[in-house]
Order: sequence, then C-alpha cells, then structure tokens
Amino acid sequence: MFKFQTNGFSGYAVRYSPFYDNKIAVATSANYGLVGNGRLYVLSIMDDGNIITDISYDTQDGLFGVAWSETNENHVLTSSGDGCVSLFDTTLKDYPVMKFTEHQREVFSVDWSNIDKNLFCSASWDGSVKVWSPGSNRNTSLLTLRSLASREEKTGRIEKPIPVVQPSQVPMSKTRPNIRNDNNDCVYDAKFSFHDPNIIMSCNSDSHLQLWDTRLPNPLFMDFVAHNGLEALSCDFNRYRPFVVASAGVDKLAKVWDTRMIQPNVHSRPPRALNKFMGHEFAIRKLAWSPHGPTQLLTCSYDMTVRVWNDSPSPTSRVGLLDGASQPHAPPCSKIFSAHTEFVMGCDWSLWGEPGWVVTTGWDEMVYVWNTQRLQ
Amino acid sequence: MFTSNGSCGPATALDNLSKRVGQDRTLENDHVARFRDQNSSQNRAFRAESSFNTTAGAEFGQFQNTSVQRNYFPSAELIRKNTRFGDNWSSEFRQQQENNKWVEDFGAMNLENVRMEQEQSFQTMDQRTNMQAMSSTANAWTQEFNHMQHNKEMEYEMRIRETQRLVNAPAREVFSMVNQHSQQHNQNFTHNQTQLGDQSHYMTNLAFERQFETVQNEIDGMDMFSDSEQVEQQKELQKEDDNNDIETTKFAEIAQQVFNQMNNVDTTVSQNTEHKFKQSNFLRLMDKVAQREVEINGSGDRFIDKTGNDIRDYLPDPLSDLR
Repeated sequence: MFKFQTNGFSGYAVRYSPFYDNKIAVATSANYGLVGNGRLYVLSIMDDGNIITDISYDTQDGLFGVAWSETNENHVLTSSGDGCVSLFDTTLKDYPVMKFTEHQREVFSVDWSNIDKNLFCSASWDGSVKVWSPGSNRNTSLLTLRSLASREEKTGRIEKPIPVVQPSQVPMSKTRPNIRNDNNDCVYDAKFSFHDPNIIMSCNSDSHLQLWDTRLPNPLFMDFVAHNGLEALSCDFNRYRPFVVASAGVDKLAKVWDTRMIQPNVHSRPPRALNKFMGHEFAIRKLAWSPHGPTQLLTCSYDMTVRVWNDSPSPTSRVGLLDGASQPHAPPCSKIFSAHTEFVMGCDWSLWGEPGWVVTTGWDEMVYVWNTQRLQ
Repeated sequence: MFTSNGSCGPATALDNLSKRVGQDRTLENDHVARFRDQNSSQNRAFRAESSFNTTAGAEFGQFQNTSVQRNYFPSAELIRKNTRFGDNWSSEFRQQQENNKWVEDFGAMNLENVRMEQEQSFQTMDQRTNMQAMSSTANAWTQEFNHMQHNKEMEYEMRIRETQRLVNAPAREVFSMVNQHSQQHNQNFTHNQTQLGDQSHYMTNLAFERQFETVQNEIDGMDMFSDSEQVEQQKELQKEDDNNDIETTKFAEIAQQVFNQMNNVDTTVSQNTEHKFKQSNFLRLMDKVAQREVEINGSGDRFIDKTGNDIRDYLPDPLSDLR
C-alpha cells in the first residue's frame, strides 16, 4: 500500500491515467469542500513506491470531480463548486487551458467518453447533464440533458418536487452561483457508456437512475427509481456486460441492474435489481466496475471503508443473495479496506499492470494506492 | 488656439482656467489705454467691462446655473435612488442641499479673504471698500463688478467734463492745471506701477478662486452621489451581514444535526466504524461549528476560530503516527 498526503485538502475524486500506469489525478477541496478553494494534484508513483507530486493547480473553489482526457495524455478535467469545468494541461503551470462555465451550480462529476473521444459529460446540482466537445475548440456545450424536464415531457405530467426532509446539502462555498435547486434533481454522477457513444447514464438526488440516448429528440429513454427514494450518488457501466449497470446511494446499497429487464419507460414503481450489495454502514459515495473483469465492483462509503464486491454471474447465487440462500455461495463482499479515517469519497481502478490495483481518497487528506488481491 | 473662445473642443476645467487667467482684466489696461488715448472711443471698448459683461458675466452666470443644476437637479442617479428609496428621496434631497451649502460658504469665505487682503492694500479706495462690504456672497461678485463698471463710467464722464473745462479755460490756468495734473499723474503712475501688479495678482486670484469653486462644485456633485451610494452600500452591507448571520445560524443547525447523526450511531454500526467516527476530525469540526466556536469568515473562503485564525493551521497530521 502506498500513500500520499494532500496537506490541508480533502480528497473528493481520484482517477488513474489511461495513458500511464503510474499517474494519478486527485481532485481535492479545502475544509472538506464546505468553504475555500480546491487543488488538483497530478501524482506519479515512483518505482520505490513513493508518490510524488508532478504538478498541482490551485483553484478558486473546491474540486469535486476529475477525469483524464482520452485523446491527450497531459489533459485533465476538473469540476468545481462554482459550476465551472476546467481543462488543465499538465505541461503548463497555474491555469487551465479551457474553462466551461454553463452550469449554474456545483458540478459534481465529469466523465470522458472512451469511444467518441472528443466528448465529455458533466453532471451538476443544477439538475442537468451537459455534453461538451473540447476537441472542436468550443467552450459551449453541445447538448443539455435536463433531468426533471425530460421526465415531465416523457410522462406528460408535471411532477411535484420531492420535499427534502433533511438538509441534505451542506452549504458550499460562497463563490458558487447562489441558485437553489428546489426540484431536488441534483445530478450527482454521469457516465458515458463503454459500448455506445450515444448512451449516457446519470443518477440524481431524487433517487432516479436515468439513461439517455443523445440521438433521440427526447433523449431520456429510461428512468426509474433506483434507491428507494433516497439519493442516488453514483453509477457506472460494466465494461464487459453492455447492458449491466450499477448504482449506489444513500440507502447504503450498491445495486446491479440489467437494463434489458427494465421496460424503457418511466417507472412509478422501482424495478427489480439484478443484484444488491449490502454491507456498508453508511451511504455509498462512489462505485466503479473493474476494468479487468466483469464481476468486481469497488465501492467507497461514508462509513470510511472501501469494499470490493463480487457480482457472481450465477443466477442461483444472485437469487440466493436476494432471497436468502439455502445453498452456500461465495460472500459478495470480498475485501474491506479500512485505512481511511474519514469519509472515503473517490476510488478508481488501475487499467494497467497486475489486476487489482486501486486508488482511493477521502476527507482524511490521504490518497492510498493498494491492491485488492493482496488485501487480507 | 486651444484657449480661444471660438474653440469647438471640449470645455474642460483646465481650459476654463486658462481662459480666465489669460484674459486681461487688470486695471492696467484701463490706465494704459486711458493715458494712451483718452479721447478714443475704443477706450471704452478696450476696457474689460464689455468682455466681462459678455463673457465673464455670462460664464459666471452659467457657472452659477450649472452649479445650481448640479446641486439640485434630480439626475439619473437621483431618480434611480428615488425608485430605490421611495419616500425618503425628498429628505435625502434636502440633506444633500444642506450638505452642499458649505461649498458656497467656502467660496464666499475665500473671496472674502482675498478681498480682505486687497482691503489692506487699498485702504484709500473707499469705493472698493464699499464694494467689499456689499460682496459678502458669491452672488454679489457680479454686483461688485457692475458697480465697478458704473464707477468707471462715472470717472470717465468726469474726465470728459474736465477735458471740456480745460478746453474752455485760459492758457495760464491750463498750464497750471496740466502741470498739476502731470505731477499727479507722475505720482499716480509710480503709485499705480506698484498697485497694478497687486491688482493683476488680485484678479488672477479671483479667477483662480472662481475656477477652484467650479471644480469644487463638480467634486461636491460627485461627493453628493458618492455619499448616497455610501448609504446604499452600507444598507447592502447590513443586509449582507444579516444574511450571513442567518446562513451562519443555519449552518450551525446543520452541523449540529450532522454531529448528532454521527455521534449517536445506531447499534447496527460496527464498533470500528463508531470508533472512527468518534475520532473524526470532521465530526469535531461539526461540533465546533454547532457550538459557534468556528464560523465561516466574512469572505466565505475559510473557517476561522474565535481568534480569527484559520482552523486548518491546527489540523493534525494524519501521517504523524506513521513517521
């Protein structure tokens, strides 16, 4: 296990480079992201196991999301609390090379398309997912996907916003645009499909998991309640099973969905998940499918642990897991990593080398690089 | 060229000042021209009276009008403030009126000071002293010059009568009178040589005072708006403070809820997780925020304690036990 301390900055998101096996980008925020600025770290894992800072960028507001470019090995995207998405070139100091400033509130995640490598998407608390094309040298979005508006257009009825029982969002920094989202449709995560460049998945605070086809006039083609009415915080496409996705939320569950088993319309009642992973003691903040296999799922949680789950392909074991198995099966949670001493906010798998290497970061200002295969 | 009256360029304060200083309104013109050509009809025309009446007087009147407009005309800014402040506009307007009176007083005092100096230099000039008594305010300045013009006209008529009397008088008397007049002229000339410099300086000072007053009024006009803007800014700051206080209170309540939720975990939570929560720095921070020991600073970019220090200076090093 290797470690790196982001002094004074709490980790929010971390990504391995798709070009180098030893480069990591970490998005951090001062004061747990509540107030203050942010810092982007670009780290290198040295041969002796030390992790060093290649370059770091201070930003005006806290950083919440990060993604590497799929076209340029030096380009890193960040999303921040002031509604801004910035593209940094690690060969240049201090300032981003492009800024994308259409979002009205915090941008919580960014994801670069693996297929159409000129595109990336961003998910914001203003209730929208935006698709951008920095390769065409334009800083305006190509497409805006509005969560609630699209659903209302599809169903033909005006939905009442779900009232927020608890103050779910702690006030963020003052540099953000001061606009409230009373619709409770803050989008927490958005991902491009690994199999179709036109498919985007997003999850939001009113518990909906939404799939979009950017070719359609109304791009929203699938929308369902994924986490029992509680906030859905993260989602990811499986790299090996094109129709399998996973989501996680405040109900402490990570759920696996087969989109073929879900009718492509808006559901008033939640569909049945292909698999559920119970074990986290608090909300799951982030999840990621393994790039090395179709079954391994990595989750990090507010219970300060990171867990590796095994989604067994056997239907009997899945039924057993869901309904109480009479026959023995492998426990779904294979590994628990508990070195973090604060909330764990970001995790990612390494694409390179020996399978099983992951990186995690959290509010304890630590970045840990560890191997799930070697964890006891 | 740039200071000519026919210039179509923008009239700046510096141009006006140059015009006024460059304009020869000294009494030297009167005396020199008078003795150069006493019978010439251009003598009256050369006197600065005409130029004063047409130019300086008009400009002075314009100055007064513009100053009045600047002080009392409800400009766009005032209208904007009227819409903002509503009924308070009239009282604010009156207050601005009162605030601007000091400028007039200031100008009057300055003129008075100059005149007091002049009074010491020209003790013998009773008419001037009378005029000084009359011109106690800036508006009386015009009257002063009108009075001077009138006196000059009277003096001119007196001289015409003297000339006519000289023409009609016998040669001996004429010689004696001319001799007497030349002696007086020599005395007056030497006296005037000393006084003309003072008078020129006096007129320059007057022009400068007027220009200074114009500039002062312009500045005062700006001050009038800046004062009202300051009031507006203070109100906005007050409103921001109130909002900040509300936000701080709300933030403290949220922090209290987070603290309670993390501190009082249910029995399903493992001891390890519960122990971590008890040791959490974030939980401590939430406790401090809930107790109002830590607040967001005014600029909203950091947490500060009661002493105003950034709390990040005190966070423990997570690697301290590993090193």
